[in-house]
Amino acid sequence: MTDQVRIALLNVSKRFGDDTAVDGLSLAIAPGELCVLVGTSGCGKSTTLRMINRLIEHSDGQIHIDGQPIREINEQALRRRIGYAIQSTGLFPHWTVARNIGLVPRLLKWPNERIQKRTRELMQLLGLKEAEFAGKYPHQLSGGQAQRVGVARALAADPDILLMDEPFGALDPITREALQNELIRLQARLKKTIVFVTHDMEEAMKLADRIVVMDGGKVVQQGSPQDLLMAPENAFVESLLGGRDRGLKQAGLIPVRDVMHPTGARRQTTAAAVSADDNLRGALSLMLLNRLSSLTVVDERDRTVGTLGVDDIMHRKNLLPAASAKPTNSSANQPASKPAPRSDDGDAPEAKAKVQGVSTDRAEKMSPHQGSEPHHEE
Amino acid sequence: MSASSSVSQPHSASPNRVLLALMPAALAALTLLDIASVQPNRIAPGQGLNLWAIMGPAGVLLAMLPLGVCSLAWRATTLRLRWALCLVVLAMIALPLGLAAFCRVFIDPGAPYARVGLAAGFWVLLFVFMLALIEFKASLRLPHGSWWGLGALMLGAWGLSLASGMLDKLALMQEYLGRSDKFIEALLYHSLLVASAVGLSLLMGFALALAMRRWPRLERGINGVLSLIQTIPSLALFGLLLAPLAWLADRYEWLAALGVQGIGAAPALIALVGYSLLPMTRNTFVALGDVDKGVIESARGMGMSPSQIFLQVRLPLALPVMIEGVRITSIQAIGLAAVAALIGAGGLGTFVFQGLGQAAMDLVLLGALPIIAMAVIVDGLLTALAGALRQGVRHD
Repeated sequence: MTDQVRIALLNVSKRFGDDTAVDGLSLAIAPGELCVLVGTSGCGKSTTLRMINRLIEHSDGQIHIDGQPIREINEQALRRRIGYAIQSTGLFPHWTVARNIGLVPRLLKWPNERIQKRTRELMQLLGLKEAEFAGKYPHQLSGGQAQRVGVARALAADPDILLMDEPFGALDPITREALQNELIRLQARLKKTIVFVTHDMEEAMKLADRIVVMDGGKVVQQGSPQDLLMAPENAFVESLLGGRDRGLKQAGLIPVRDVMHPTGARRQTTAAAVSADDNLRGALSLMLLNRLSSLTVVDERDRTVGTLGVDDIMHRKNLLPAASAKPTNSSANQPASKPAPRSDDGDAPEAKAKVQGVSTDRAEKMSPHQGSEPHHEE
Repeated sequence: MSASSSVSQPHSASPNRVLLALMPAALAALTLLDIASVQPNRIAPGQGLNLWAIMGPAGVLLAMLPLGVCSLAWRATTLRLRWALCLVVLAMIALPLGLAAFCRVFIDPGAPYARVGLAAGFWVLLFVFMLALIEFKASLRLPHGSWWGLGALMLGAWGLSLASGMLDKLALMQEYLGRSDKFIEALLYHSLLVASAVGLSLLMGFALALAMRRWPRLERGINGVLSLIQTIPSLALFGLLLAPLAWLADRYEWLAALGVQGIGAAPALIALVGYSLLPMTRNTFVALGDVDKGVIESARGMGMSPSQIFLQVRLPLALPVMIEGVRITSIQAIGLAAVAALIGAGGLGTFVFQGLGQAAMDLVLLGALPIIAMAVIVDGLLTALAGALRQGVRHD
C-alpha cells in the first residue's frame, strides 16, 4: 500500500495552439489521498484535472492510473471508473434526482435492483431523504442539495478516484462550509483518492492532505497545509496563503484540545468558553472579542474540560500539531517523501526537496496528522 | 386547489382592468351594432337588425350580462372571477342557441333562399368573449384539465347546434350545405398539405441543423439561402416555380406521372417547405446548441458515449425549443397553404378566392374560419406539448 501510486502524472504538458496551459507537470497521488490543486484562474489546475479523465487529452508526457497509461484505456470506460463533480453540478435537468444518481451504474449496465439499492445508499450517505428527494427534478433543489446530488452521482459506481472541479465554488459560505465538512466526513469513511481543484486557499487548507500550488501551468510548491504555512516557497504562495494572516491561518490548523490545560491542572472559570474541537484561531478571536487572556474549554456537551490562556498559545512547545501524532493515514504523504520511481524527472520532487530543505525530516514528522481532518472525525 | 390559487393571488382584490375594458366593448357591440341580418338570397344585401329590433325590451336583460361581468371584475377576488368566468362561458354556450332561435323566428319557411347573415355586432361580441377567456386563463389558476373541460363544453354547444341542423339557415351553413363534400375534401387536403410540408421541413431542417453543427462553416451559407427564400413574396415564389416545374414535367415523364406540374400541389409543397425551412432549421440549430455546457460536460465526464449524450441529453433538452420551431412553421404553413389555392393547389383557400370572386362573403368565411380554427388548435396543442416537455418528463 505504501509504495502505491494511484494517479501519476509524468512530465505532462498541454498546449492549446501556441498557449501552454500545463507545462511539464509531474505529480504522484497515493491511494486515499485528498490532493488539492490551488492557483489563480488560468493556472492550469482545471486543465490538469480534466486531463486525468481524458476530457482534455494531454499533449506530452504520460498519465498513469494504477500503473496503466490512460491512453490505453477506452476513454468512456476510464471515465466510468472515475467520479466527476463540477461547480455547476451538471445534473440533467430532465431527469429526477434518483435517475441522475444512477447514471453511471446504468451506463455500466448494473441490474435495476442494484442501481436502486445503490441510489438509496448514496442518498442516505449524503443526507438526502429518499422519500423527499428521489422524485424531484434538479430545478426544485437548492444549490447545496444539488451539489450533494452531484457528489452522490460522482460516487455512484463506487469509483476509487474522485475528481472535483471547484464543486463548492458557487455556494454561499454557510452551505459551502457544511459541504466541506461533509466531504471530510465522507473521506474519513470512504478513503477515496480525490483530486480537488479550487482557487480558495482556505478551502484547500481545510480539506487537503496535500496542497499543490500551481502557477503558469507549473507546480510552484506542494506539501501539507503545515508545510506551506511554515515555509512558503515564494511571495506568490505567501500571498495565496493570506500574507499577514498566515499566523492566524496556521493557528487555524491547531485544535484547542492539543494546547489546552486539562481541568485539574489549573482550575479557573472565565466568562467565555471555547469548544475543545475548535482551533486556536477561533480561540484567539474569542479572546480578542471578550478582552480575555484565558478561556474555559468545554466539550460538545458543554462540560468544562480545561482552560486555555494566551501564554499557552504563545509558548506552546509543539509548534505543529504533528506532535500529537496519531498514525492514522500514514500513507497520505508518501509520494512526497518517497517519490514514485518514474516521477524523478519532474519538477515536483524538486519543489518538495526545497520545502524539505528548510527542516530536513519534517515531512515524516508531520505526515500522520494533516489538515483539520482528524478532529472532524470525532 | 382553491386554497392554493387564492393564496397565490395576493392582489386579487384589486380590479381586473382587462375585463373592465373588454366588457364595455361587449356592451357597445350589443347595443350599437347590428347583431345579425336577414338576406332574401345569397347575393342580395341583407337587412341588419340590432338587439332592440330582435328582442325588443327583453334585449335590455341581455345587455346586463357585460355589466354583470364588470361588477364582478371590479373587486377581482378569485371567487368573483370564477363567477364572471361562469357568466362568459354560459354566454358562449347560449350564443348558438340564441342564433338558432333567431333563425326560427326571422326566416320565413316559405322562402327557400332566405338566410341569416352574421353582422358586425356578433363578431365583435365573439371576439371580446374570446379575449375575456384568455384573460381568465391568465389570471385564474385553475387546474389544467378544467380549461380543456370548459373549452370542450363551449365547442360542444356550437358543434351540436351546427350538427343538429338548428343553424342551417345561417348563410355560412347554407354555403357549407351547398358544398359539404368539397368542404371536407378541402379541409383534409389543406391539412395534408400542411402536414407534409411541416414533416418534410422538419426532416430537412434537422439534417441541415446537424450539418451546421458538424461543419460550422456551412452556417452562414445555409442561413443566407434560407433567409433569401423567406424574403420572396409567396405569390412571386409560386410564379417562379411555375416555369421550371412545367419544363421538368414536360421533359421527364416520371415526374409528370407523379403529378408534378407547373401549377397544383408540387409547387405549393415546394414553396411551403422552402418557407418552413428557415424557422425550422434555425430553431433546431439554436436548440441543440443552447443546451447547458455544464450538463454536456458532466455527461462526458460520467462516461457517456457521443451518441448517448445526443440521444439521452442533448436531444431531449432541445426538444421544447425544437417544438417551438414546429409550431411557428405549422401556423405559417396553414396560412400560406391558403394562398397556394391561387395556383390550383386546392385546400380551404379555394373557398376564400371563390367567395371573393363571387362577392359572397359567407363563402370567404367558410374558407377563412376553418383556417383560423386550425391555426389556433395547432398552436394550442404544440404549446401544451412544449410546456409538458419543458417541465421535465421522465424518460423511463
